[in-house]
Amino acid sequence: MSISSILEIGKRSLLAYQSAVRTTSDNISNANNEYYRRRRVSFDQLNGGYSRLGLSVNDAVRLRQRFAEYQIYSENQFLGKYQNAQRLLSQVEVVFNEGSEAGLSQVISDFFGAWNDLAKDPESDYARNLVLDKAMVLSDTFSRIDGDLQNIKDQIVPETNMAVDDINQKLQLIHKINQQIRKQPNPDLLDQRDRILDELSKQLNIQIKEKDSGEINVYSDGILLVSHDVMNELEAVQVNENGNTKIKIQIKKSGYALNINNGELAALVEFYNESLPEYKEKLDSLARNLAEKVNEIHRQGENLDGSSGFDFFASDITGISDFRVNQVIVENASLIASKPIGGAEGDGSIAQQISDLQFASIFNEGTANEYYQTFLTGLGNRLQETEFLGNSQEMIIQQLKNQRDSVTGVSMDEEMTHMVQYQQAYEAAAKVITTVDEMMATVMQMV
Amino acid sequence: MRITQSMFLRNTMQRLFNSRKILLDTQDRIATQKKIKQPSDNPVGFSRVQRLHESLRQNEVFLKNIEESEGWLENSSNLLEQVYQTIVDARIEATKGTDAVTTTELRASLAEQLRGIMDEIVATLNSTYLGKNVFGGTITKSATPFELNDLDVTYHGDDQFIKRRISKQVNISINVPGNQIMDTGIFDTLKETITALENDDVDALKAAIENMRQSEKKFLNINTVYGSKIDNLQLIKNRVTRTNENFQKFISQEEDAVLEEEVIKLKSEEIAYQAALQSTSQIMELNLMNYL
Repeated sequence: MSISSILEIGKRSLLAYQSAVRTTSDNISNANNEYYRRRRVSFDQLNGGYSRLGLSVNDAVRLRQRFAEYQIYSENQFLGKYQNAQRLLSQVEVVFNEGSEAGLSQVISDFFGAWNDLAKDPESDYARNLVLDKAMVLSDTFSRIDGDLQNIKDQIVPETNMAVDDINQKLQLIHKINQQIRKQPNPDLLDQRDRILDELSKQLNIQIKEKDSGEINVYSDGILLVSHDVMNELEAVQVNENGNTKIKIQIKKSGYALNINNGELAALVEFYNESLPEYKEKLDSLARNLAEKVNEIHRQGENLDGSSGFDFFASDITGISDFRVNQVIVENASLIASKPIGGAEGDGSIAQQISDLQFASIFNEGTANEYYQTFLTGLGNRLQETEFLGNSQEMIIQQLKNQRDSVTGVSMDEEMTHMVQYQQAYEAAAKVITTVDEMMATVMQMV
Repeated sequence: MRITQSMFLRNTMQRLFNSRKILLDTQDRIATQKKIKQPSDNPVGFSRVQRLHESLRQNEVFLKNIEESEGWLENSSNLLEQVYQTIVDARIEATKGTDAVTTTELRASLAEQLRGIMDEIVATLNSTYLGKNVFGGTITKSATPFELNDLDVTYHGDDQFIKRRISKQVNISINVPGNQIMDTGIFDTLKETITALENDDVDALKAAIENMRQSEKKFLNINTVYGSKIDNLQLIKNRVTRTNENFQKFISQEEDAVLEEEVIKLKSEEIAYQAALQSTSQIMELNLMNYL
């Protein structure tokens, strides 16, 4: 073995530790990057036949904690759904802000209160105008709620389209990364892909299959969305089902409808297809029933001039969107009936009967106001539950991320220790070279 | 377990955010003085509060109805009392005519006086309250209830009651329809008395006065029954007022924030938050670099 081969070993050590410090500095610079997976230097003996040739550094190894990663992807889907549902439901809750004086239950009470005033003063025009006025406020309140719900509904469609576009872009990226990795493994690309998967799993229910080469297949509802050679884009379409528009998520190429049951997208679709129509229908039923019952009694009464048989509210009300006072009454409040047919002007019993509707159980849930309260409580319960689920889901994911990071995260103390270690080894290797140099000089002096 | 930079950061941030959220909520409760502002704050409590609000609103309407009824009842009661007194006066005057020493002229003048009294009674019974006939049944405006034609009184009202709702279950009638007054026979007996006086017929007069006494009793009866309504109403009013006070108390208990409690909470949360901040900043500075 020659002295010069020791020089070679020294050189290799210098290079190896230089590269190790580089990896360490890479780790340090990415310490706060959530999607960076820690790299580890793997040293290796370089063997050349009979003689050792010193140290070599293989490519830095990218550490994984697969179990936690996959758990995160599947838990993320619930988190995305709960968080989005909570956001959407709070928008609905704001519509029914009952703290304000103009809340629906106050308006309903006022409406029946006005009938009570008319019952007390059935001869007066003033009391009739008051009834009309309160009825208008009621119908305005219903229209406002209808408009607000419609606004929320209208905003869901573009939001869903944006979410689908976003998902498609992510699928494209995964597709490209798959193709790259197939040619040449690249840890940085894997970092990027993990970030995309993390975000994608929050938006959509996906299953992931990873091949040995590092490529991944992404499935949703059992359908392959992306692999190295397949790329299925999604699209959101609106379909008409029994007069209600619904959003469907399907594969663009084949038109196959996907069952999206988790993730932010599922929250949007469910909210649009189920929750909103359900809330609307409950209110529609309130409006319809109210109008029907008032009309029923009103038709049996007559006004001061003896005109009778009028509906108080329009007769064709289907819900909150077309809830309105009968046009003839809007134009002429004196048509409002207060007495039974043939009764005297001081008889306010019809008005009293209408006012008494507020105590009548016209719904399974009880009175009109109780029905509305039940509706609000249901909404509040749902929102609270979603919030609770979202919060606990967040805790679960945090735990999982901690588990993952305990393997793949960067610890500053560890990196600093390594750095000191590598630096000292580097210094020692340099010392080896100077020593060999001195040895060579000694040999030369012998000549 | 390896504790990495990202774990440390994530946990710290989460806890700080939590502390801030709790602080914000407490501050919100203090600023608005309300524990429950929307359904999701506390669905069960919210629905309880809403029910109480609803009952309170209804009771306030009942209270308004009761107070207005009181006005009507008191006015009517005063009128009835007045009429009753007048009838009693009329009878006492008429009794003078049964005296053996009373002359025909005096009887004629008593008759004249009684005619005046009859006018007065009819006028009183035709009174209006807030522009409505008090004793016309539900015919409150379209006709004058009692019409006096020489000595005959005709009733143009109806026998309907005017009703007021004073609770969910109770509807009270607040008027005395004129037909009840007619039924007491006061006008008939007055007519009988006046005719007897004018005819100078002492026996008929005595009989008429006896009839008047009967009518008087019947009239007093109406008066008493009616007067007891005012007392009942007063009792109901007291009860509703007390119930409302209770409702308000319950609502406040349910939805109002107790300031002292909240401030103490805020204080302890503030301390917890500060401690978290301080420990975080201290630990953040600690790492191996400081010792290399």
